[in-house]
Amino acid sequence: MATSPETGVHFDPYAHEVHDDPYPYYAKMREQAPVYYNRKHGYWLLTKWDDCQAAFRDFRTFSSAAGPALEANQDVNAGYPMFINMDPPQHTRIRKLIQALMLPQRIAELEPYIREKAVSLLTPHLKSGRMDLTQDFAALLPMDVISTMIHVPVEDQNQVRQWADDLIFREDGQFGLNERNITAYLSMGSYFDKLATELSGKLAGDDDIFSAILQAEREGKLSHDDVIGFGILLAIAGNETTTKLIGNMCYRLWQHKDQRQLLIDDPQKIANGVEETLRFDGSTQMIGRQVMQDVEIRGNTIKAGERVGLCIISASRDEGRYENAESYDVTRGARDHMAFGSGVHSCVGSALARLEVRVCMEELLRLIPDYEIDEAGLERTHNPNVRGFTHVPVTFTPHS
Amino acid sequence: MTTITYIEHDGAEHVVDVEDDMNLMEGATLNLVPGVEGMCGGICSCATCHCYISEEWESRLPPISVGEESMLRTARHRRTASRLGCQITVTPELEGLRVDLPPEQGADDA
Repeated sequence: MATSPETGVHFDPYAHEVHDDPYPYYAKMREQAPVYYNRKHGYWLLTKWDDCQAAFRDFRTFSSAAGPALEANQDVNAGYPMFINMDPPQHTRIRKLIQALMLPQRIAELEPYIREKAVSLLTPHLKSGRMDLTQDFAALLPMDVISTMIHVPVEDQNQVRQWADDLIFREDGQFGLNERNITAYLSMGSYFDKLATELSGKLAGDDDIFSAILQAEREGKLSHDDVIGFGILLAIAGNETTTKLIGNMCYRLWQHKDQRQLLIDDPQKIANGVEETLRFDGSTQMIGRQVMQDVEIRGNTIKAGERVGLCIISASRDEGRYENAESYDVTRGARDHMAFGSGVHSCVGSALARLEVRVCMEELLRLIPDYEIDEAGLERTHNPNVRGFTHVPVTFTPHS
Repeated sequence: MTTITYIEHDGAEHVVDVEDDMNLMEGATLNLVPGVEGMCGGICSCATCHCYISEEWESRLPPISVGEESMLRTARHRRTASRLGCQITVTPELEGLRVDLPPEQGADDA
């Protein structure tokens, strides 16, 4: 039977023009083609909350073994092993090595450090009345914080960040990886190979992520390549999406000044504002899976071997799940969005991301409550998955 | 492997073998037991692996931590027997444990 219905809806997440505002496309898909098939590249998208949630839950049918990107035919096994590209129970055993370090109560110990760092990044700009909220602030803090857990020295942090940026950037219409992406990946591999070798004799115990994975290597639970894969994964995961979420929140609060005022007047609400930004404009758009057996969803048959994107940011705008789903309401506080995925592969760093974004926004709204974005200077990264700005130039009332 | 029985709110029982060092949430979700969601993947952040453990088993479980308590406070249908499955590691001492599940999972919105 036909598995690729013609729907009249066309959506190309690789086209740069889509990235400014993908939400009307998602709304159209939810309405006209909730299980969308892209004939050009041969992948499906699930756009409704219920369908995404069910697919995350059924990890046997919707496998991660070919990676979480949307593209088909990628050979993730040619690279360093990463637990994001594995299925349970192997995935679960490896995730467990660091999971206890990522619980909210454990992560909370970092709050004073994160706050101090946020203030130290903002303070030098207060007198000038202008800064770039991504380049001077949102891009620097997550790299600094994850570096305390993976031991990247200060002098290397900009380089590692640049590799992470290069790894994800897609040219307009680019499907699959190009040389810039691959070079960045290989550079990170060499870097973490060297770093892991240097640190393996120095770190003891399991008090931070890199110590815990080096300990696991000594115990024979991980190979050296596993350790390198961990380093690359954490350097990307600990950077890109948190940076972009801070930028997205700065932008949405500027766009919705009544909502910004609510948070300035009552900073206790900022945590809910972070949840709402995750739901309304999260920095992760979709997560790829490979279907392992034929599955029928809303009358469409997805065949074994086909690629499916779980479009979590469309799910977050699903009117069937959220009242006034298309409105940005910082008091909503819903935590059932899937901005961090859901289930066995749910983001292990979500508590850290929530803490970083909350503290950054608390300090930003305290020190620079009246920022105005220079819209002409906004620039985005381009990737079918990662959504957010690389430049957010702002002006504000100077003070000391 | 340790045998654990999960009992849905409507009484449906699911007997599964759980690998040691997995937790009660993973024991359910890796075996696709209905009624346990584990949305946050086990980092004590969503209260969707809420379950009830009877008094007779309580002494064999780790005590409720500060983080677990703060999530349980938000859980719908909380009772004195409430625990979060992701915070209970399965060991051979739990052989035969029966885990009751609430009518629905999740936290009330803030």
